Amino acid sequence: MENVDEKRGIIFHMKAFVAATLVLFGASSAFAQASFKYKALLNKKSYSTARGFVPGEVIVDLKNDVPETEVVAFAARFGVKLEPASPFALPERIYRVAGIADPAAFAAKFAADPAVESSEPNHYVFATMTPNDPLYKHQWNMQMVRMPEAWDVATGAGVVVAVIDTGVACRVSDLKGTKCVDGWNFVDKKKDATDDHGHGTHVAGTIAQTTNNAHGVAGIAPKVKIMPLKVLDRFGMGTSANVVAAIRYAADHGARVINMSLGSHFKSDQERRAIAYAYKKGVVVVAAAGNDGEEGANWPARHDHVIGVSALDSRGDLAFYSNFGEGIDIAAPGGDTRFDTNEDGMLDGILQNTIVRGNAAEDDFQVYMGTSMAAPHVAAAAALVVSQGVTDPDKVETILKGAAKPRGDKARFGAGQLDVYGAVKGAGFTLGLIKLGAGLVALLVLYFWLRRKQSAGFHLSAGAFGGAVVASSGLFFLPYVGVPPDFPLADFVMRGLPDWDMAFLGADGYGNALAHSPLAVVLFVGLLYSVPRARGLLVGLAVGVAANLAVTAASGTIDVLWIPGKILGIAWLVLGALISLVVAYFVWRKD
Amino acid sequence: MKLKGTVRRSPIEGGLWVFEADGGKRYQLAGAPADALKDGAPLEIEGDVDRTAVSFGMSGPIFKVTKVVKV
Repeated sequence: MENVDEKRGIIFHMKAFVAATLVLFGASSAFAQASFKYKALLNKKSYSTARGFVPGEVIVDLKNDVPETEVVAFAARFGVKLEPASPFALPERIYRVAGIADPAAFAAKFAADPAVESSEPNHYVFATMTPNDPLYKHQWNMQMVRMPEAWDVATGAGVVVAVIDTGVACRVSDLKGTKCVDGWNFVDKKKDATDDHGHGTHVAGTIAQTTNNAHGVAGIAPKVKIMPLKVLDRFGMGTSANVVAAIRYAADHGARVINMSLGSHFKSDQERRAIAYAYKKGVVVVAAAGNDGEEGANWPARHDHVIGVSALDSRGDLAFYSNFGEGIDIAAPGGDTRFDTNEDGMLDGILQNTIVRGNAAEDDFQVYMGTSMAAPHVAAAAALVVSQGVTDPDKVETILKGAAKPRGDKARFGAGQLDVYGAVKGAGFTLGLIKLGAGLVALLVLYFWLRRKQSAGFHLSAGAFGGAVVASSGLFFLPYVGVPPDFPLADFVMRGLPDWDMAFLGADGYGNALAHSPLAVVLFVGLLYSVPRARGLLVGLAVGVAANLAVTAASGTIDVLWIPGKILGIAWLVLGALISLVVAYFVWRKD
Repeated sequence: MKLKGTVRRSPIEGGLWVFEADGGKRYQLAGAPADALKDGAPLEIEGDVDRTAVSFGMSGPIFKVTKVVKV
């Protein structure tokens, strides 16, 4: 009898060891991949060799002025078949040749041919997302804020961003795949908040232009929902009273982020109070610094609880028009349409899809410059951070500033140049890793403590580890190892159990008191307590929830919904963590 | 309040009208008749700075024009 128990114990130990190894391996490989990716960006050539070559394939780039007949002759000369490397590669005369025994040698032979510009063995690329939008090549700003990596891991699903502006023409061609929720037109006092100027639609495009739709350009957080709030008339003028009403409307109707690419030289106490109201409701407020090229941001950018954004040109310098000094929290691309510094045939403004001024029936792709263009970069980045589960406005601001590339002069650049990938990673990956670590450590501590007291009723099982992972962090690292962030059930799989309210309720209902409590654990225990094999799983779940709640409390990333005040919210989370631990103890100890 | 100066088309924010008053201060014009808004046009305007107004231009205080004295 004892012998059987011992054997079973060994098997359990082995299973536990395997599970622990898998989890740790997963986490560390995610870490490694993420840092690898970062290095790859710094040195594009390094990842090609690191990922290996495609067997038997050579990429050959013929000179662009080579006529079609010469392309045929070239193929005949070497006895190979040329396939266009991609649908976009044909004008560039870039071809793929397959079925080559020694690609390196063949590439060298090709390269010696007078028709060839360059040739090399085809290699795998650990690709960061490059949108297929044809005008994306003119969006230098997206590279500047590290969007290609950021899109790999977050797209902003579930978050509502209010655009307080001239309205938004959601019908334009490159917003067709973007969701707009009901807004309000404060100018004409009606529901239809369609843009009749062009500014607001451009701003909304930077935030959520339909991306990777093989049309036009890209936006930073293409899966967010835009809430158009029209306060500026067709001349681009409005009243502070309407701005105040719009801020309150946004806060009351589920917006998690507000973008205000507008301003005034004059302070309004009503505005200050509306912003404080939105802040208390957990809304991140972002505003443009102003275009006077002077010291001091405009209002509302200068108010407390507003992230004030100065503008960068394509060289990364402060744009000539951007305000600086008081009220600047961070810098983001605003462009400068006087130059084409990067020589891409497009003036270096911010390119988005908007209606044509004076002819609202038509829409086009236009370059704008201004701090109005910089602010929505930050608002969209904030929405991506929120989508990772950080909803507290102070924390969102801290994460954005912490990830920003420091630029020295705080008066001009605030915390520095916006780094969207860094911010998203800080919110999603780092926090996930801490939750996972806390869950596993708590499980091990509880186990060894119970064993020392000789009162452990069960051994560490795969179920216990699995439960701890599911409940603490989920497989948060999947997007960082190449899994697209929007696969089915991603919101469940990539989050810890208490964070599943994001999946059920979206960002608007995220952080609610019931989900962030031991309720789910108590329900599971009630259902499965009598099933002996489920004990390990239940302990894992309980410990994981405890870890998740404790880390959330310690990091202050969530304002718990329905619990008044930050302190009580943290107390709620701590209490929840303690109850979960007690549940784990009672499930696990010897009967 | 009377201001003398020049109307300018600013390239900021997709384009907007500003008024450069003699002495260098810059304003944005609200309510000016369309035919008065020509790049480089000298203008004498009457009106007041509207402290309750906001704009997408953020290029100086907003001057509510009541009368264009001379075009």
